[in-house]
Order: sequence, then structure tokens, then C-alpha cells
Amino acid sequence: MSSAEPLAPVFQLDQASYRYADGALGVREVDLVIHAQERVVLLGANGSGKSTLLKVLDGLLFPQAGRVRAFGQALQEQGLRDDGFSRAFRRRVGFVFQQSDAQLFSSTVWEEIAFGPLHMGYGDAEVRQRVADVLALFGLEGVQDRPPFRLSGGEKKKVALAAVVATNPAVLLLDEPTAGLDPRTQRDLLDLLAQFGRSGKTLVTATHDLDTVEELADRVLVFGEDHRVVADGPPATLLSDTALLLRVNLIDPRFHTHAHDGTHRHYHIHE
Amino acid sequence: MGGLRPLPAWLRAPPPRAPLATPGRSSKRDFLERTVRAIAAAFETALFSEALAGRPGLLQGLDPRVKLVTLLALIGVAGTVQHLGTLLGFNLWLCWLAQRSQLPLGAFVTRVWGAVLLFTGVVVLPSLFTVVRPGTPLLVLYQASHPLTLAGWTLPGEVAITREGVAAALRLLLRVGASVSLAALLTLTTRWALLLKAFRVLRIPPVLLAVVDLAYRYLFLLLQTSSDMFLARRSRLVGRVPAREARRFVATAMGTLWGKTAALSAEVHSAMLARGYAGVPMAVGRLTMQRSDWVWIGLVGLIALLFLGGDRVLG
Amino acid sequence: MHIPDGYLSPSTCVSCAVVMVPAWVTAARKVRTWLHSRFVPLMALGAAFSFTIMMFNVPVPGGTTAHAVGGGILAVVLGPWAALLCVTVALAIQALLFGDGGIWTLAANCLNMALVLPFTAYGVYRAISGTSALRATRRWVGAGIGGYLGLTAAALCVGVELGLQPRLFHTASGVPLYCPYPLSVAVPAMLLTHLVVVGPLEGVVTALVVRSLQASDPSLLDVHARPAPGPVTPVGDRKLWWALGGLILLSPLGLLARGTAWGEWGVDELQQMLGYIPDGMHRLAGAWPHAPFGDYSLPGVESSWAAALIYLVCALLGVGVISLLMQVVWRFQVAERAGRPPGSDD
Repeated sequence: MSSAEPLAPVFQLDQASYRYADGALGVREVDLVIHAQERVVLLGANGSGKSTLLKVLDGLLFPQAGRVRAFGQALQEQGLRDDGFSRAFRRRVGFVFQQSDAQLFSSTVWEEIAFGPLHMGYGDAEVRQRVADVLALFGLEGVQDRPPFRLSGGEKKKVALAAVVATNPAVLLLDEPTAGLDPRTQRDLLDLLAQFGRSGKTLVTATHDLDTVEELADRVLVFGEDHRVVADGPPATLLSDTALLLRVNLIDPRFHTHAHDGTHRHYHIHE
Repeated sequence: MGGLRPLPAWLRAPPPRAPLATPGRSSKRDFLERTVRAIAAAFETALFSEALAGRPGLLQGLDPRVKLVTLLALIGVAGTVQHLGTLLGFNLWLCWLAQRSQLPLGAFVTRVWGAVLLFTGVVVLPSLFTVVRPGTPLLVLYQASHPLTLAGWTLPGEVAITREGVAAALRLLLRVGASVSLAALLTLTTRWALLLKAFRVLRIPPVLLAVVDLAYRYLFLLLQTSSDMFLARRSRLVGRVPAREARRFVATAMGTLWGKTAALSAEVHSAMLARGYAGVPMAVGRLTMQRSDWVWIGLVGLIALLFLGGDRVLG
Repeated sequence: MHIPDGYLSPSTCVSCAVVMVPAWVTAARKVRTWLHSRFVPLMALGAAFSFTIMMFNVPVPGGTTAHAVGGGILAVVLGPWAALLCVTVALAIQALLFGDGGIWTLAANCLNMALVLPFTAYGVYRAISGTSALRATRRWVGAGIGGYLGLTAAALCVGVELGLQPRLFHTASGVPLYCPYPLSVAVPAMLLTHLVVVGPLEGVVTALVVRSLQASDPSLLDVHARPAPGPVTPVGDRKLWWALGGLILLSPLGLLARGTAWGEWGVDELQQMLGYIPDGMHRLAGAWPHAPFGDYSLPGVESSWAAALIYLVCALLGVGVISLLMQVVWRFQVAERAGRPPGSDD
């Protein structure tokens, strides 16, 4: 999956720290490099800074300390005011939010998926084509004329991802994509994400769901409750480090799991 | 936070066994229930509208811009026509339009005339009587040979329903009915997304239309949140809520709702930015006029002339 | 408070639109400059919020429930210009989608509930609370009084709009074409219910909401506090103007007082009280017969509500004339001090 030589860095963070307006800490002194076509999972308990980091990577929040570079360029508030840079950046990076309702802001599913391509500057015909293709890919043709408030939770997540994918971004940032989904929808979503990963997209997923980590990632960054990155390595290694997982509140003392290769899973009963 | 703390004694004890008395028949719905019902009705209206707008009727097939301009113009006609006969004919023609557009006539008439009679009828009722407006009596209700005086006030010698009062009231009722019918015809036969696109023809800036569109989208989310808040309060309802506390609750609900609204708007803004939004809203697609639209415009022009002219001839 | 279609003549509707269009344009320009790309999401959600709170049933004394408009609340948290836009959009959705309020009368309804209400409420709020701390008592008291006065002012406008219809639009035989109630009925009817029931409700609800925000998240009350760039009049002046406006609106209350103020008797009243007229007074009494609004009234006006309106008009005229004079004087002063360096107090 990954080529022999390291690919160009997509994101570079240098001691980045972000604190919210009301004083709450977001992330603290994060040093991070993400290369193209990597599949990274940001793992941490609720409130440990994963969502904040994603927003920093997407140029929605700007750290008070430290530096952020994307595609080799500095990512700053003034920089994104420039229409040309902003458009180019937004075309390359797609963000799926945790709360679907904030993300689905168009009148119908069709318009939602069309929003991205339209604002990127594609013509009407191209937009229609893309929307049709994306609807087919996600199996959403049946609901294309429906308003968002008439969609189920699973459908909303699909539409959100579909809307982001319509601009064919190089990078996908996903905030808790499988939270609250029933098993079948979760399976569909994970399969789609795997497809995107195989086609060369960079995936950065924030989650606290340990069961999905191995499918989504080649590399895991663990966030501690102090909002720092406390570990960075392959999923198999980190997930079997129960002491680490306990320390960062990702598991409770009664949790246990078995690491497998691939996605094979079966249930055990222990004494 | 290690280890389980034991439950306090009162939680371990069996709950007090108060008898479940048969609930009395409470005729008055309290403010909580009324609000929840009002919100549910709003949802129903919106869903019903969308369903009707999808039916293959006469008005549904028109270009929404044409529909908007012609129907608004007809409301203007309704506002100009004076003669009662013309107004009546106009209203009948609108009912015919509703029927041809596959709108359930009973529901349409109830929705339009129910509201009109209830609201306007009540408002206009006092103006029928001589006490409010003098005029030629049509139906005398009370007549005294000499006027009575009570504590310095002179009671009117005659109370009657005036001809002018009846004419004015009927005129107002028919006019309001026609306007409401036209507005209902417009909104019930046009899908919301298309309706907003139609407004562009009135030279309303697209930014404002984008605001309306987004507002409509999130309206239902806020309505749902509010309904949940009121229902949650209802589930903890013990006895009646005193008015003062009720007002405080509603105000707190509004405050909470504003907090959520402000936060949500920031999230939506982020989401829009992340998808390339830069402050200028865009939309896809051009609406095209068809032959049936031109035919309709011609028809409406003729009908308007007919009613206006007929008005002049009759009145 | 929503006026349905059919109550106002088309020309009245158009006149209201003529007033509203510049207001909308100005509001859009100011708010967009302030919000940039946040304009669409914030205004849209503000409008959705405005619509939603109009649906809340609030108990009033007497056992029934009523609705608050909430224009004052929006003015406090977003500023009056933004409130103007949000309430407009909410009213538009109500009219178009739910048939609440007419489509032709939309501009008139916006005039009352989106322009008069928030601006009055905001003016009073800022006049009372000024720059006090976000959690200060003056804030919610000011908001409450603002809500009350704002709604009452809006109600007055509704009454005037409706009441003018029979006078201006009628058939040849005098039968009213639109709203059948003249000013003498429409205005008292609107004012009475709103001064006594709905107005206090609006005030109370606005005050309570501000108080609840002060407790939960005071920063929400600070959203608009940054002064708009480039105002012509300094902020201190503005407070006074708004306070003045409030006083103008309240001036007709003086009509309720019976009799004549001490020392302001006319010649005939003196004759009654003293039995004679002092000589000097007798000579000077008729010195100026040319007053256009003699006794703050117009000849032939008997109805006390028309008299109240004339009172208001006189107050506005008086204030207008005085401000004009002051402007002239100020210009002269500025011209005099032209040599002074910028930034010095004026």
C-alpha cells in the first residue's frame, strides 16, 4: 500500500498549541508530520483534543503557539483570506464533522452534494455529473430530493461523507465517523473509507472506538487527557499496550481484546 | 473515581406507594402542551406542503417564477376589486384552481376559510353594529323609545346591524379569503427549493435568499430542540405550573435555545468554509419557461381584466 | 400582531415597502461588513431562532397564553440591524410557508415587528444599561423596559396603519374598503391590549431571557458591543437620542391629566378662577394668533386619540426644529474652530 520512498508531507505541525476563547485547552505542543497516502487515526478519550487537532489541520482554528504547514505552505488566517489559496486548499482537504446537522445545511441531499463542486467553480454540467456519480456510489439516489431533517442518523453521515467526497479531495479528515451508527451502516462506511484509502487518499480519523482502529489506520496517534500526543506508532503495537490505554482513559480495567491481523474477529468467553 | 459508592438509604428503600387516583378531566391545555402541539403542527404543515407540491396538478406544472409573479399580481387584483359579486366570483375561481391542482378541496377550504372566518370574522363582527359605525339599519336588534342614562353614560337608543357594515364586512372577508387562497395556492403547489429560486426574479439579492433557505433548513432543528425541551419539562410535571414559574421556564428555554443557536451557527459556518464557501452563495441550474407557462400568463391576464372590468361594470 | 392580507390597501403595502427597502439595504450592508462570511449562517440561524420563539406559548395573568415576538431579545444579542434582518426572514417564512400574516402586507409587518420593535427596544436598552458590566442589573432591566416599549410602539404603528384605511380608502358612499375601523377605534384597541397585557409580557420575557443569559453565558450579550465603524454621531449622543425618542412616545400621556398646569391658564380660565382678568394679560392675550398647532392640537379634532397623535407629531416637530437649530449653531462653531488640531474635544 505505501510506496518504498516516503511521500511528500501533507501536514506538518511544530509545537502547535490551541486554547479556546473561554480558556479551555484544545491541544498542547503537538509535533506531527503526516505524509501523503497515510492512514492515521487520532485516538483519545472525549475532550482530549482530537477534534481540535482536526480543525487546526483544516485551517478552521489557528493555533496561538507553534506552526502549521499544509502541502508545504504555512497555514495561517491571513493566508486563507486569499481566495486563490483558500480555494486550492479547500479543494484538497475535506472534513466530515462529528455533528451531522451542522454539516448538512442545504435544502436537499442533491444540493448538499452539489455545494462543494459548485463553490469550487465547476460548471453546471460537471456539477450534475459529479452529483449523479456520488449518489450512485453511496446508494443515495432514493433520498436525493429529501431535506436533511427527514434523514436517519446513518443516512446523514453518508450524505455528509458524500458531500465532502464530491470535490475529490486528496485528504479526508473525519471526526468520529462511526459514532452512533448501527452495525450495517458502520460496515458500509468503513468499507467506503477503505476504498478511499486504497485509491490513494490521505485519511486522518479521530475516534475513541477501539474496534475500528485497525481497519482505518496504518498509524495511530494517542492523545492523553493532558491534550498532548503521548504515543505514535502502528495500531497493533499500541492497541496491545494496555498500560498506555488505561493511562489515557481509553479502556477501563475490565476491558480486554485480542489483536488480530486484518479484520477477522470472534467472540470469547473467559472465566 | 475508583470503586462503587453505596446507594443512599432513600434510594435503596422501596418508593412510596401513592395511590394512582383516576386523573380528572382537565379541559385546559397548559402552555407546555400547547407549544408542543403548535410545533408538531408546523412540522405537519411543512411535510404536507411538500407532498402536495409533488402532485401532477395544474399549478404544480408551472414555472415557479411565473407562478410567483402571476399569483402575487392576482393578490393585487383582489386588493383592488370592490364589488361583492366580483369578489365572490374570484374566490370561486380560486377554488376551481385548487381542485385542478389536485389539492384536497375540503382541506383547502378549511385551511383558508377556517382561518379567515375565525380571525377576520371575529375582528369584523363589531363593525356590523350601529354602536361602532352609524349607517342605514338592515336589522334592528333593539330600540328604545327614550334613551336610558346610566351613571352619566347615555345608552344608544337603537342598536342595529347596518347595511354598510354588512357590505364592508363581507367585502373584507372575501378579500382576505382571496388573498389567503392565493398565498396558499402558491406555497402548496411549489416545492420550497424551487420557490426560493423563483424569488430571484423579483430582484431580491441572492445573499438574502441564501439566508432564507438556510433559515428554513435549521428551523426544523430548532423546533425539534424546543419541542424536546418542553416535553422534557412536561415529563417532570407535577401539578400545574404557576404562571410565574412558567414564564421563567419559557425564558430560560429561549436563553438555552439562543446559546445552542449561536454555537450551531459557528459550526455551520465552519462546515460551509470547509466546503469552499467564501461568502457568496451560488446555486445550480436555470429554470426554463415552457409553452404552458406563456399560456398561463395569458390566461391570468385575461382573468384579471375580466374581474377588474366586471368590477367597473357592476360597481 | 401580524396583519393579514386584505386589511391594508395595496398602496399602503407599497408605501411600507418603500420605507423598508432602504432599511433592509442598510442593514444588509452594515451587518455584512461586520460579519463577512459569517453573515449567512448567523442571520439564518437568528431567523430560525426568531421564528421558533414566536411559537412559544407564554401564560399571562388571566389564565390564557400569549406569544412574545422576541424582537427585543434579538436586538440585545445581535444588535438592531441584525435583528431587523432576522425578524424579516422569520416573518417571510411565516407568511410564505405557514400562512401567518399576508404576503402583500409583509413589508408592513416588517415595519412594525422588524424595524420599530427592535430599534426601540435596543435604544431603550442601551440608554438604560449603557456600558455597565455584562452581568449588571441595569442590563436586564433595560432589556425588559425596552421590550415593553418596543412592542407598544409597534402596536401603535399597527393601529395607525389599520386606522388610516377607512379614512383614505373608501367607496364613494364612504364605506371602508379595507380595515373598517378608524383611528379612534384601531389605535386604542391595539394600544390597550398591548400596554396592559402583551407589552408587559414581552418586557418580562425579554428581561428574563437576558437574565438567564447573564447566568449561563454572559459573553453572548457582548456579541455586538463593538461599535460600528465610522458613526457620524459619537456614541454618547446616540443614547440621548434614543431616550428622547422614548420620551416623545410617552408625551401623549400628558393628555390624561385633567385641568391645566399651574401657571398656564388661559385668559378665560383666569376669568373663572379670579373673577376678573388682569389688565396687562388682557392686552397681551391675543398677541400671537398664528400658531399652527394651537394648544398642541388641530382645529376640529375632538377624539382624544387623534389628539394624542397630534401631540406626538408636535413633539416630533418640536424636537426636529430644535435639532435643526442646534445643527446650525454647531456648524458655526466648527467653522470658528477650524484652526484647532484634530482630536481635541468638541
